[in-house]
Amino acid sequence: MEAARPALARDPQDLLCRFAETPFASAVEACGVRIQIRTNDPDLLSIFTVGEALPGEAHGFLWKIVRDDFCLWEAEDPSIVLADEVTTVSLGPACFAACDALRRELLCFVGTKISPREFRDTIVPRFRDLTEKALAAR
Amino acid sequence: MAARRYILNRASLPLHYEFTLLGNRVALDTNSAVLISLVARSSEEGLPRSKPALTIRVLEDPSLPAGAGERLHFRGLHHLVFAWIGPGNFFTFDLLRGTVGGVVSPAVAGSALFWNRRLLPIAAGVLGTNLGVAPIHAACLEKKGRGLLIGGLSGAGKSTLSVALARRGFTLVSDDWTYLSRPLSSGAPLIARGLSAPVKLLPDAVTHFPELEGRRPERALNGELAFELDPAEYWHCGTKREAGPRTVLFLERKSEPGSQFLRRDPGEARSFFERQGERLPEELPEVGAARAAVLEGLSRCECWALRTGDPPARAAELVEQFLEAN
Repeated sequence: MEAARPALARDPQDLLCRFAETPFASAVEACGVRIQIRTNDPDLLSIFTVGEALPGEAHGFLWKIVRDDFCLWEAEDPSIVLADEVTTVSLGPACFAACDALRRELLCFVGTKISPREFRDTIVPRFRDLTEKALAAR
Repeated sequence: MAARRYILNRASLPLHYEFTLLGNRVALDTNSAVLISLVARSSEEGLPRSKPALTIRVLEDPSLPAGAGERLHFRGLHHLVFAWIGPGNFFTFDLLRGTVGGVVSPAVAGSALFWNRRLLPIAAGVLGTNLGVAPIHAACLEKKGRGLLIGGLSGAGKSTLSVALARRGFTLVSDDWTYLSRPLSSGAPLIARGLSAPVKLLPDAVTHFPELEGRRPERALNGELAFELDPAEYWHCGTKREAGPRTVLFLERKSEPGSQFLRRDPGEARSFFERQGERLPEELPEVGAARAAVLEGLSRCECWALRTGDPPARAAELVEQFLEAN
C-alpha cells in the first residue's frame, strides 16, 4: 500500500516551513559514505537506488529534501554560492539547496514544477558533487 | 545549462564596512561601493567595541537582472534560511555562524528601500538571537522616559493607535516589529529597539487619518496591502532608536463605543509574544533558550489590556491619561 504523503501545513508560526515533516527515509551508499535521505515526498525517494536503512545505523551525511507544495515557480538558471563551509545552489524558488560541510547536511526545498525525473537528472548530480566537495573539504 | 558560480571571500568582496544594527556591531563585506555608501548614510550612530555579531556578505553581479525585490520567497531548514528576491538574486542566512551571504543585481545593491525595509528587517528577524534580541510583533513608544509596548492580534489597530499616540507627543520607537534585548544590569528594564522601518497602516486607516486619502496602499513585506509611511516625515512626530519599556498594553477591539483598562498578569505578555513568534529550529536549542531568556524580562513590566471601541484619537487620549495616573 502506498504511504500517504503529509501535506505541507500553512502555519503562521512556521512561515519558513522549517517544521515540514519528512517521514520517508532511506539510505544510499554514495560519495564513499552512507547518506541518509529524509523527505516528505515518496516519489522523490523512489528515484534513489535504496539500501535498507537500519535503525540506529550511523550515517556520514544527511540529505533532507522537502517538496514545497506552495511553490509554483519554474526553475531558473542555476546559481552556486560558496561561502566558507556552506555552498548554496539556487534554481530560484523552484529549488534551493544548501550543503553544510561542517554539519554534513544537505538541506533542500523543491517546488512542484520540478518532476522526480528532472530532480534525478539535473539536481541529484549536483547533490553528489556538493557532497563529494564537502567531504573532501573536511 | 551553465551555472553562475560565485565565491564569497576577501578576494571577491574587497570592500569592508562596519555599522551598528540594534545595538550590535555588524560587518559588511561587499564589492559594491554604492551599497557601502548607502549603509553609511542610514546606519545607527556609534559603533560598539564588541566583535561583529553578524557578518553580511553581498556580491553585486552586474550581469543579473534588476530583481526588484518585491516578490520575495523564504524557506528555512535547520540553521539555514533561504531568501529569493528576484531572478538570480538571493540570500542565505546562517543562524549557526551568524552570517548572511547573497548575490544581487546593481539595482538591488543600490536600493535604500531594499536595504532598509527588506534585508535589514529580515536579517534582524531571522538572526535575532545572533544579535541578542527577541523580535516581537508589537509597537513601542515612549513619553517622559517611560516606554510602552503595544501588543495585540493582527488587525487590532496597534499601528493606528501608535500613530494617534505619536500625534499626542509620544516618541515612536517602532511600529510593526520591536526587538527586545536584556538590560546590561540586573533590575534594569528591558531594552526595546526599532529599525528605521516605516509605519504600516492598513487601508481602512484612511477612516481615521483623512490625510491618507489619495494615497495608494502598496504590498508590504508580509503580502498585506498597506500604507507604508515615514512617521517623522508624514506626521512630524518624534522618533528614536530605543526605549526602556515599563508597560505592556494589549489592544483588544470591541464593537460598541467605550474603553476599559483591565489588569493582566505579566506572565501573559511573555506567553503571548512567545506564541506569536516564529517557531525556532529544534537543532539549535540555544536559540530558543536565548529568546525565552529575553522574553522573561517582560515579567517585570506592568501589563494591561485596553478593550476599546473608541476611535484611535480618543483611545490615545485615554492611554495618555491612564499612563499619567498609573
